[in-house]
Amino acid sequence: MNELKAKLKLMPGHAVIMCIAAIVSLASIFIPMFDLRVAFQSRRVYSLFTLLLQPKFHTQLPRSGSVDLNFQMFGAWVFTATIIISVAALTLALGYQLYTDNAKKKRWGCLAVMVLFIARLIMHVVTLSNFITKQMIADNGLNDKSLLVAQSFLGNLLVIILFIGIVASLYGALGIHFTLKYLSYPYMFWIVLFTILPLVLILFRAFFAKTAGGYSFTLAGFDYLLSGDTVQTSFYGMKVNMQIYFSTFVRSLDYAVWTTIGCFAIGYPLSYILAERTKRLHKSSSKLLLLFVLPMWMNTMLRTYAWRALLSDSGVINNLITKFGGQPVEFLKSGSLTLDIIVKIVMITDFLPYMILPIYSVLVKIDSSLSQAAADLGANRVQTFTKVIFPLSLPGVISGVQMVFMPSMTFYMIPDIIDPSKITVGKLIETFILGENLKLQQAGNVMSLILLIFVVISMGVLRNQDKDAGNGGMVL
Amino acid sequence: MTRFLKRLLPDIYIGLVLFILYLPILVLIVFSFNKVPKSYVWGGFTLRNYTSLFSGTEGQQILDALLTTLKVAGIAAVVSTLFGVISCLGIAYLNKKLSNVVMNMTYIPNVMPELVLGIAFMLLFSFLGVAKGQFTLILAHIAFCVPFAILSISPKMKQLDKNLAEAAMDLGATQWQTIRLVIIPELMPGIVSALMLTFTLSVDDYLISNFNVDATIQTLPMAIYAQTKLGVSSKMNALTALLFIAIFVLLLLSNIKSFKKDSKKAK
Repeated sequence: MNELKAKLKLMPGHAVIMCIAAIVSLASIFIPMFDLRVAFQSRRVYSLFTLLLQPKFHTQLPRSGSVDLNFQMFGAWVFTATIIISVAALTLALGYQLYTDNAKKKRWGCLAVMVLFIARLIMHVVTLSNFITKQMIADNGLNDKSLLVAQSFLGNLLVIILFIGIVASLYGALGIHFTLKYLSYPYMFWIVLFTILPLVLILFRAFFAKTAGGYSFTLAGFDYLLSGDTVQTSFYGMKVNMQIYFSTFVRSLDYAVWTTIGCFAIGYPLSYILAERTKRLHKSSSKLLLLFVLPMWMNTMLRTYAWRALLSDSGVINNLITKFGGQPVEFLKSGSLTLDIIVKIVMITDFLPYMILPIYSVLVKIDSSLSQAAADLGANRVQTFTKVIFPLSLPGVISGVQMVFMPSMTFYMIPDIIDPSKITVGKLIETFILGENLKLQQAGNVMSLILLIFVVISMGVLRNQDKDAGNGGMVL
Repeated sequence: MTRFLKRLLPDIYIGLVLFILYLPILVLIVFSFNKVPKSYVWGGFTLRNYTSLFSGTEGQQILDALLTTLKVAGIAAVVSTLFGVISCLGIAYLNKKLSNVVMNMTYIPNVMPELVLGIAFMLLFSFLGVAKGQFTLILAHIAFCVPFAILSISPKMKQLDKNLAEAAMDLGATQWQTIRLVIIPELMPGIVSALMLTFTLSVDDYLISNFNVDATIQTLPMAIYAQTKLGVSSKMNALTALLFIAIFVLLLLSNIKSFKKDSKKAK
């Protein structure tokens, strides 16, 4: 007995997983996995065991008629086959690991277990797909949508466990020696699937439309975008004639540029003050900084809506003005200069934390003896800032700009809530892509590609400046 | 006098910016006590929005959206952090060139705007033939969160002394024991921050959800955005105010804790 215990303790990881999977595979005959649905209702959940115990099923239908099903023969076959496969898998998995010391034999054992696991999986699928025969459907006058078997949650779990068992036994069969390096391989696959493929698909779908048989080449999206009418829009209260889709791009760019400039202009001095304070008090981080980050936890759209409530014609500020005998101000008048500015101010307040955080984290690391050294060498305070502090803080500024510029261009909810009369790129893409019209969808795909190109360009520009950050060139 | 003012100037500046940042939040919290529903016109004080937060059709809708959001965010945070830990362990033992490539690829989704990512995932699911629904919603959130999880764990992995793991192995620990007893405790701060970051990202996300879900499911940000068109329910204000205050208290508590620790150390 002690010997067995010692052997169990020494079992390698994949063997333990294999044994557990084999045990689960055997125990699964008692697990209710097959959910019988009659006339859109779940009527009974079967396990392989109950399939044998209560093979006859009778139920009265709500409107008319009744359903009679008999699973006796089917249940007996399935049960026997599953038991044989599972018991064999369990014996082999345990036996080869515990009673053989020959590495080669162990590998053959793993291979056999893998085959059995695959057989168990096939058995499961066969059970599921042959549960309801065409004869049963015809006899009871139902169709394949009102009489069917669905797999329950536990059934899904069994399939996953069997897959893990297959992987473990494959690992044992190949006899590879495990190193931690292998843990990164799933992530490499993940990168290909969720980073490279989606971005390639944006490029691909701009030129190819989805059809019934596959994909076909089309330039309809470009045609649509280029053939848009020239319309009158307003910029800063001025009326301008511009091609409709071009004007949405210009407007989004306008919002993004001013948001970035505003965030930088307000955020840099703020980060500087906070960083100086932290350094003076000899703390690792500023508690005050938390206050600037805290609003990020409140939903952006609700905050934006609150701004609108503040500034609307019957809003809080106008209420105060009229209370003190003033004339109400129309802040949100469509097409006015004030509205254009208000949208940008609200966007700045929303994106400010994203600018403050990276700049602060760079500024706080700059050694204060550097500015003392500059002062000793005869630089005045302005020179110290422009020649020493600012160039050193550029990496923070660049990552701040990166975190504000493209997001503020695509985060269409804020302008849409404050000023719904003007459309930005993001909103346009949303209405195009999520709509039903295929031509518009294609146009939306093309616009996504243009946006992606914008992202790549802005990444490239910001990266280049990062390399020669010492030159102190102004970003933007 | 001017010197005094000059010294006070930074404080005034900080105060002003904080005022502007917190003004809408203040308005929102004040109007969560408003008697007139769906309106920012003051009609008297009431606690009704809090006491009957989840009752009525409106409340039911909010509760459904809240539960969906919490479920999706919980799954996304746990799965992406777990996957992040496993991947970071692997990446650390890759050769230098390959690990650089992998980390550079990790940065790409990190700097992509959410809109582009949302569309990209949507096109991916349509390419793979997966119908939009809860599954795609959760998968898209996980895919969005994984790079963030990896980027918050990998600095801790870099700080980790690899000799530590080797020492543990030399002393007779198995590989699994080394990971469990030596490496994971060292990574713990990174894991906690990854969990928190991915959870908040997922809770707050509108754009990725919007492109990867069918009409039957609504997350909280989606419900809010839909409401901004028709008038935001005061109950929504009440809920967000509660969430905000909960986070505020949580931060306060953790700060007091660390403050006490500091003062104990000082003694």
